[in-house]
Amino acid sequence: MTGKVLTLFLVIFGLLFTALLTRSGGLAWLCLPFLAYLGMGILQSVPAEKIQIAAQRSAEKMDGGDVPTIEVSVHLRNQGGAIPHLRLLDPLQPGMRIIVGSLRRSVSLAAGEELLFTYSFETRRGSFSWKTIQAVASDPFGLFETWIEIPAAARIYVQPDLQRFRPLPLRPQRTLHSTGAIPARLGGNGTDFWGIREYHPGDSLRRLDWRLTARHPRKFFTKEFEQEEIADIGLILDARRKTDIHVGDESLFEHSVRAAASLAEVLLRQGNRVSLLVYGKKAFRVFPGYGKVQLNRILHTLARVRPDAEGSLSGLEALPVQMFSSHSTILIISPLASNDWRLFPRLRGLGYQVLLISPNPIAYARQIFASDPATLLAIRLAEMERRLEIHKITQLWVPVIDWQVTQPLSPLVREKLAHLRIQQGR
Amino acid sequence: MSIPPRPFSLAAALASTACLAYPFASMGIWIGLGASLFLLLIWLLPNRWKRAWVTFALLISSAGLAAVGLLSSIAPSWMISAAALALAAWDLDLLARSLHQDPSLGNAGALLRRHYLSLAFCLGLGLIAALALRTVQIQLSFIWVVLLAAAAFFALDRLWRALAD
Repeated sequence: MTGKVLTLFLVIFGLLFTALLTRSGGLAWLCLPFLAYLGMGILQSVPAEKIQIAAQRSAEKMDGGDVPTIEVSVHLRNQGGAIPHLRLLDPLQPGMRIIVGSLRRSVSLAAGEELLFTYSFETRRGSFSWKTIQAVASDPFGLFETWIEIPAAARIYVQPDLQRFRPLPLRPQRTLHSTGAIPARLGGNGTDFWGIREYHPGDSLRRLDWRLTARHPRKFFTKEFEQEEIADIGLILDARRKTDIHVGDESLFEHSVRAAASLAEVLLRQGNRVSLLVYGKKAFRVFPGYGKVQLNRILHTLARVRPDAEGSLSGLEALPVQMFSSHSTILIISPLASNDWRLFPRLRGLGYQVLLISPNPIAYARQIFASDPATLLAIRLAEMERRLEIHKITQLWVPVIDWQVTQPLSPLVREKLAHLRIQQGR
Repeated sequence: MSIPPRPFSLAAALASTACLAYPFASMGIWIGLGASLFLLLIWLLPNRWKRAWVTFALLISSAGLAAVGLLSSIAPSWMISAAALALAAWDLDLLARSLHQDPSLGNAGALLRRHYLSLAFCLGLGLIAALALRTVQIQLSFIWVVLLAAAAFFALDRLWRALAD
């Protein structure tokens, strides 16, 4: 029942009551048009048990364009009686921007009639799922509405777009004992000469050092090459709302997500073990793994994350340390807020090698700031505060990339990773 | 594509006002005439200038004015017609609002046609029934009036509960 029915009852009761008080038959007959209207609504209303609609939904990614476009189609078939007025509603999910069609559709559906309800939206990334489609069946006047949920499930992921980086020159202080491309400062099966040792049964004859063997009768010597292994890398993405800034349709967080996706791709491509932690109200974790499967897991997680909630980065004191193995390399992507520097002494104390990639929020938001003297002064103060924060972190021998997001990230990361090599001597 | 409801709503409001204003004017009831014209002014305002509850108030006011006219011994045919046309104007005005909020409704030509036909049918039926039945004169004692009134209220109450459920 709707407000219209209430109004009709009010008028009908009022007229009847007045008719009785004044004993006027004309007033009673005045109700008849209203009663006929109400009666027509009752006769044409559709009870819930008589509504039988089957629905099938599909969501497809359309090719072309910079921003991915998804077309959602819901095919409905009325398997019950005629429905004079059927209103279809789909909820607007976060990250959706409707470009074709609408999330609502109103139709009159005859018995056995089929209907195709479509709309298209664009999104940079996200996880979109539907379980049902909401429908409201009513009489033509909208007096009596029946709300139903028609099962129509579908799911689609739009992964964040990423840049393909050139291989990064990693030199972690510890490596994992799996074959890779990083010199491990251990003798083994590599390509760079490492040293010579005595021959052990089972050593390949091709590795014998004949020159030294000739100088020492009854002894054989084997050449050793530097073992090449893989690194264990943890990515931490800061998803707190207080560090996010929106300029138009873009946000600083989207740049951070693209950076995390690109780094995960290049590190996994190089054969390393990579894990991901997204720090926000809901912490998303992807436990360490390798290869394309791990990349898919990470990209699926990055597709879903949104900035939310509060909490200083120092809340990472409750970080599940077992997720990042000791002496692993941690790459943190965070615009930094006040007092976030307090995390880094703890990480260094636990033996992690850390690299901070900090998208610069002040430079990013410059275009939306006013240019009056007070604002310019505030910008300068904020820049000074940020420089002080970064200075405190660099004093802990943590390389920091103060990243203007308009610049490419790859060359900056390559340069700073070289500093990690120097850091490991300390 | 079907005709949008706003012109029909305005036409119904004009006709309803004419059915109210003419007999009030001919009987010299100037307050009634002034009230009818005032209601017409509010009907004619664009929807963006008035809230949704104003439309409900217009219907109740028009029905009330029609009742006053009946009690002032104005010919019932005019007042019953005015009430029926006010009901049509109210319904079509609300439909125009829904159209504005839900643009997809404008493309559902079959939906709009069905609405117009249903409205015309039920109001026509109600109007004819009211005009025909008003000629029937039944003398009832007070007790019968009270019993019938109680029955009517009981029936409406049951109907209300059934619809609420």
